[in-house]
Amino acid sequence: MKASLQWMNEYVPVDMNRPAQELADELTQAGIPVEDVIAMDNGIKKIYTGKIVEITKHPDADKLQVCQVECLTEEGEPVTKQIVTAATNVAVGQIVPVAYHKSRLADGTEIKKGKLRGEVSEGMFCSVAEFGISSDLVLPEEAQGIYIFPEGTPIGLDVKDVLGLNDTVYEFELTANRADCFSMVGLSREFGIMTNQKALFPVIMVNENGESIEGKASVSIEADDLCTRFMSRIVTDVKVEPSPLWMQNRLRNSGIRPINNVVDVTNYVMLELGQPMHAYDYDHVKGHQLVARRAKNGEVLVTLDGSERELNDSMLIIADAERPVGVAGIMGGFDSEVTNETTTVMLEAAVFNGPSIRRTAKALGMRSEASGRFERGVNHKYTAYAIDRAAQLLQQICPSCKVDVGIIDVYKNPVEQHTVTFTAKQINDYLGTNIEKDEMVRILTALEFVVTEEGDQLSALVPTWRGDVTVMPDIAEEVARIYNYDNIAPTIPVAVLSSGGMTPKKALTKEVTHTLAKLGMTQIVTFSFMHKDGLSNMMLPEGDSRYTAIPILNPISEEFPYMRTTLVPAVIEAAKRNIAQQNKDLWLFETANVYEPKALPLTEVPHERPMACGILMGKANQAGWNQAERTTDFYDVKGIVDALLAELGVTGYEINRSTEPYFHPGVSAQYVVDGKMIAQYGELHPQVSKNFDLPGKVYMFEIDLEAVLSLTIPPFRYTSFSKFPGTSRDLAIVAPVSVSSGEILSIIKEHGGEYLESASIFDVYEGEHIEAGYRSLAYNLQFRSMEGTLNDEDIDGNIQAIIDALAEINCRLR
Amino acid sequence: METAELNARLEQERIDITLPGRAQKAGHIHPLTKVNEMIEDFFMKMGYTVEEGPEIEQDYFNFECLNLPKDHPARDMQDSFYITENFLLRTHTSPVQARTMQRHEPNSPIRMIAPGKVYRWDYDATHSPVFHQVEGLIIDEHITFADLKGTLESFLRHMYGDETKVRFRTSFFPFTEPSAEVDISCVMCGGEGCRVCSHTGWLEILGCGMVHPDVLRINGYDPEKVKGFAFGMGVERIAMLLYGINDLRLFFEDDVRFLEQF
Repeated sequence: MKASLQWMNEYVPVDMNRPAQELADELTQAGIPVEDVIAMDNGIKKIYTGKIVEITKHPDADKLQVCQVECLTEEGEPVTKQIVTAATNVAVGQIVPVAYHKSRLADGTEIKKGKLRGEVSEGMFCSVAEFGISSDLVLPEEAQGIYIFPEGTPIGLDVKDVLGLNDTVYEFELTANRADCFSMVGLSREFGIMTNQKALFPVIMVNENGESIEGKASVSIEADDLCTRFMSRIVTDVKVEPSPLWMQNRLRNSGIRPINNVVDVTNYVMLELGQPMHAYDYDHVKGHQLVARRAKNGEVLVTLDGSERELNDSMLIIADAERPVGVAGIMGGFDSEVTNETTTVMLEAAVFNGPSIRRTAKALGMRSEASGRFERGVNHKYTAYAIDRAAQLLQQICPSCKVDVGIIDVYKNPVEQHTVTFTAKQINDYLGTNIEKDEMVRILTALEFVVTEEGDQLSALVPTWRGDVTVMPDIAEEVARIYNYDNIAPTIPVAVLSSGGMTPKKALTKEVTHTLAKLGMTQIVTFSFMHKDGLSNMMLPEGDSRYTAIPILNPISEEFPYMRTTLVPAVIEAAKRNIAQQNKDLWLFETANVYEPKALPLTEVPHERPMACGILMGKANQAGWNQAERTTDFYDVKGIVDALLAELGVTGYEINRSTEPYFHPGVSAQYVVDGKMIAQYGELHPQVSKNFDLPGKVYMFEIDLEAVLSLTIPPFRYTSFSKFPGTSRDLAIVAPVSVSSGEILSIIKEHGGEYLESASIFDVYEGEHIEAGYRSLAYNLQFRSMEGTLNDEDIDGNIQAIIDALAEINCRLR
Repeated sequence: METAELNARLEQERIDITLPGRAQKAGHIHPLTKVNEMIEDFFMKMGYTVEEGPEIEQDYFNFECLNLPKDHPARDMQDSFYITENFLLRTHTSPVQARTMQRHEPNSPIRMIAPGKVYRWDYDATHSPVFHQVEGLIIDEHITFADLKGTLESFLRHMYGDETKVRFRTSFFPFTEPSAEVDISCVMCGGEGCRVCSHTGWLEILGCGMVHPDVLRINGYDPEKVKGFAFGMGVERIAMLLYGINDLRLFFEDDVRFLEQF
């Protein structure tokens, strides 16, 4: 909603010397947010009206004309100036805007006098664009060429005054509850309260000087759930022509294009009172009757923008005896619109159901100033003011017209005003304030609530335009916003003590995030949507449960139609965005939910499984002056996963080769606890790398945080250690390549005896001196006893047992 | 003599201390996580629990439990991603309020915050279809609007420093009454007026209000017996103002040159 301060000034004095931003801030503070303060003059200077008295052809240029223009000097003396113009719409006798030497246009251009092809030109004629007026706000013929003022406009006037550009406009970003402020009257009330003045509105009076309306027209409501009041008046002897400039200016400054006097009056009343209106050409309303009814499916209406609209039975329309003549509250029909030939006008002021208007406007893609007001709710009482105000204004600007005696009003269930009861203590307890009862009464009275007192009990009769005020907290807000929120002293809640905390899922996610960061991984955040090719690029076979993804009805793009069932594609894409920026050494991870429907289409909230997913590629460390660089490999990703699980206290998992299709089958693993997979990692399958267009070797991991959460992790306990020195043995074992180091390690542990404290591999060798098909694996074994110092004899037997057991699987000491 | 020898040796062992130390692989936590944790830490110390709720939510919890019946014009403020007629991607973290109230014994005290992802159909330089919010709710017998002011003022000073000025403006949300928008003095210019604050000296930071009696009632609480306040904030906005980040898209582009600064 845009509001002109000049117009506002008619209802409540506006101090034009006060910085416009100051009052805007006060209104914003009180809940009437001003989004923008617009100076309408756009910086134009010294552009005046002048009269073309003579036009001659330019002697040296076919496209130029030399005009003599009668204007006034700054002292008010008549003077004739010569202007050379290329405009084609000029004619002798026209009053036009003239910019002279040192005049300024809206785009900042300063005019200088000069010569055009040898002829002196003391300035230029202006079009509306030169004033910064959008071409949407003038008629198409006015948007082209030089702007022509109405006949009789005096010369020497500042165009800012003639076109209402000496004005400041507030653009409001109103909240949904303040339907009343979608009108000059409503906004004036708020202005008045902020400046301690009472807004005064024009007296509405109609001179019913025509014939009786009786029998000339009828109105009926067939859908009384969608239309709750419908009023009409008939005005005859109308001469359709442009409205006077003052009305055009106000409409334009409010962002509405002037059309003709009848349409302009309906728009003016809408802006003034908040009641949208429509005017029909009486002679084109068949049977002279208007019916508010639901459309029939397939019924068609050409609206006044010339488009053919197909209607259905969810839409409310206005019909005459034969056909639709308007989509109620949204747009009128082409056939019954007011044209230059119209002489009798049937006015409509009605109240339509907000949600229905909202749905219809959305369905037809035609939201308008009118539909926006109906959506928020229109005051039934103002419908009556509006129908009379429109008739009054028509009489005022088109003196020939006559208003029929009588008014049509279909209003079955008049809306009653309601009362809210409360005590001052209730309000103060709610706000945490000590505002005096009298102060509350003063504030509410200024807001035009009628307050009555009975002991401590206060009753406020809510003004018709404040239907949003229904309960005590609404009253509290009215008191608080005028008292000013900033004047309420802050306190800290007095409430039952409680200890904060977080859910186990949240706590685990936090620990995983921090641990991965400590391990050198960088956290990313990606969108929850899944690319349509993500899963097939991962080479998941048909039937994989991840294909059961939840489709979004209105996805952000056709490329991302699903809620993701895996983090993998999005994490890969994040890496690719980095590669495109030449960031090639990437250790990235994300923790986020994947979405698993229990059934499709959804019948209940889907399962949201927390996952961690990482991607590693490029250099594993930063090369330095004393440090060689190393490329990330399988054992980096394994090291990360192992360290993370150790930090989380997860132990005792089986290590299996991964069966996941997106991994390299030989270079991937999965960890299983109680048959449940908790983690998998490995090198990306070369074909998957290719599908995603990834360079080089890429490693990824996925950890199912929900599976981790379901594990019973015993509380941490300290383990005692020996006070005695231990003894150490190294075993170099030659083993067939088919035997894994893990198998050898488990044999060592099995046969190492009670003193074996730890065993770890420290070398793997394949090549010279080792026969083909074999490799050498070197282990360090630490033995220690809790009871005393060990001798060689104490462990020799165990070493032999290990060697014997290894021999059974074809392994021998080197 | 020994001392002289030792000194000579020490002199000989002198190294170039300006050479860089041995590089350690450093990981980084996403700024949105950092800010979320700052918010969580503040409120957990004040006795709030951190709650979670589904991202794919029922219309009932996302709207109806919050006093936003079907066709409420305020639903337009939030263009939704729909899954079916009854399921959508939650447009705010507020449904966690409703779920938490419904899980509690009626009228029992609540202090909770709910951080999480939210979704709105809007994608341009200043809007992301996926973003993060933190919702807060306190319910008890004697909660007042002044308490709301006190709580949020100390929260915002915790985030932006003790010098921060905090302003409450009247606003409207269907689930609170009275409602307020909260501004802080501009973090860039300190309130003098600059490009970041559009020369107003203030930056909009969060929305809040006293829980609407209808919301209490719908979720099983009795507005005659208890009162509460609620607030909601955008984590991206909080982070942008905290770290001077001028482009929302940086959070989701995941460029390591951005992430490694945190």
